[in-house]
Amino acid sequence: MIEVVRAEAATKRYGEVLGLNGFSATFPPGITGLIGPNGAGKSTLFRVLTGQLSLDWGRVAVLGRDPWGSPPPRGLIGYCPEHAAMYDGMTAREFVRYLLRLDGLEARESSERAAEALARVGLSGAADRRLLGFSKGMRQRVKIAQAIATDPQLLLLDEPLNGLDPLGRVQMLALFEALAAKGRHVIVSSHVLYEVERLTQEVVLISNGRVAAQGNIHRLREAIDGHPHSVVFKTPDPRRLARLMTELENVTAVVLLPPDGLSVLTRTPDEFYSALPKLVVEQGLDIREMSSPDDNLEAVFRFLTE
Amino acid sequence: MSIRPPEYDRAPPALRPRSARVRAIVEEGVRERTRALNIVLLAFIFIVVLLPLGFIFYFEATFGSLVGSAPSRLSLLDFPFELDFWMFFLILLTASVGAASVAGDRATRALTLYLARPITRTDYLAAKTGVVGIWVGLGAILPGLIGVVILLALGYLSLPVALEGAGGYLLVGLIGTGAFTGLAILLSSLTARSTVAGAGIFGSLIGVHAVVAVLSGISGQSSYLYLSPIEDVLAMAKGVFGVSGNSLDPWVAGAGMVALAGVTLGLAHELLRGAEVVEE
Repeated sequence: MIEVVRAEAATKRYGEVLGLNGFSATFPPGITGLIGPNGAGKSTLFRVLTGQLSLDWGRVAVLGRDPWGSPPPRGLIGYCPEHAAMYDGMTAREFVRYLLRLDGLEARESSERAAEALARVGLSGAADRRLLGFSKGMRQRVKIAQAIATDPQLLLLDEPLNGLDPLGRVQMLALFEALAAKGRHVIVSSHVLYEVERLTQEVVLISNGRVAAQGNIHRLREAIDGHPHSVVFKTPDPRRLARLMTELENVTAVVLLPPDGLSVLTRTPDEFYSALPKLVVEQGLDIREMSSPDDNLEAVFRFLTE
Repeated sequence: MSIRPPEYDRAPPALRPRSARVRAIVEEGVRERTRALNIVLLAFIFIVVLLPLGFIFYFEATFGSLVGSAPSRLSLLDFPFELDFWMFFLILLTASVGAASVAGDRATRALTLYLARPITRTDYLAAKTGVVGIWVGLGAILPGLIGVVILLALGYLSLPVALEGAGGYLLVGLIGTGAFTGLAILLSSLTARSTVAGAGIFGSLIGVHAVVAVLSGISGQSSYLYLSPIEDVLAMAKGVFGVSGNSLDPWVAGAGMVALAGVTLGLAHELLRGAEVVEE
């Protein structure tokens, strides 16, 4: 398989803390999601891939090259860092244009491409405003604009949807899809599984600096769904709900969580969620709140890594 | 899995060489400093107003009755180096401009945007040195050159002396700029806090000067003064403009400043060569 990025036992320490802990994965062409909870090592990996950090052990190759010590060739990589790294005194146009000049573009070409990139992220109207007054979402768009402005072969997007409003998220996801459709490779990190699910089926799950799983998101979901799935209810009468739940075939355990909580464990969540509405309606149950702690990524990673 | 070549809507851009990218950083860095009004005001007041006026007043006071008769003594052009406020201004300018040069990019995480691009750490350091050097050079060289032009125009100097004087200001100014800039870049590379870097630059120049002055006074050995970049600049100026009573060898002082510039920039390069962008 042709690899866009390859990491072999990549290890990076920050003193006593392990940023990457023997991270080994291959990122195929197209869009790949890098999923992991906060502090999992996603940003560390991106900084290694862009030559900002050196590895203590192992190796990485980005489009066949070792990124450390040799800056990426012009126009090859576009990088959108997670945290704001901007000159607030500049306008959005000046900022993107400046970074394009650092990429080696001529002044006129930089101006044209900056305008195009800002238009693609929906910032044409605010292009000549100073970054100082930009909201977090607008800053995010500027960071994406500077990353795509050279039309790079590989886009490394570190939590690019953070701070964006719902419409902005849809727009940016569509933009990434359009870029991938034109043959660009995109590695996009997120700690929100469903966001990446909308963009790609190919994911790498990272946890504690290691690969927890890699491959097709649906197969991973099947594996995840195979583990006991817990649902927590808040109800004024948890004992009655507990009695009714134990009668369901797909429920394996019920735990009371005083004063008004109930935790239900099931191995077949799809069947459980299908049966639940009928039960609520027929029994006239008063369920005030329902949540599934297993929906969060940390629970998924715990399951995959333990 | 198949892979296909990327499609492009427009022709790949014309790319400029490495030097052009470094120049882009220098241009933006100099422009960015002009947005700091305190620096612009400071520079304007000293470079364009106070120092040229100082030249006129000094010569007028000395040779007021000789206007137009061109006293033409090169040693007279050493006088601005004897003005404490010029040196103080230079140190203030170096600290103001140099402090944030690297530290600021680390604090704002802007360094990440440089190093993720086709910019080597050497390019980055060269560009930042250029930015600081241009500003410090403006303060170190320009007042002298403006002063010489004014004195020439008013007839206080003959053309050969004026040219010699301009060359002297250029030589001392360039070497002094190199030493001050190198020190500023090194100290700015050591921290992500611009205020700490600024205090370090100011403190090291003034502090070392004070310490060696005391040491020299106590021991009676003027050689301690070589350790102070300020004393080196003054000694070099005295040598260049032919002022008598120089307790230091101007050539040794000049060599010391060149060495200071080289060593500090070399150390900064080593620091930055292995620099990693981590969360501060």
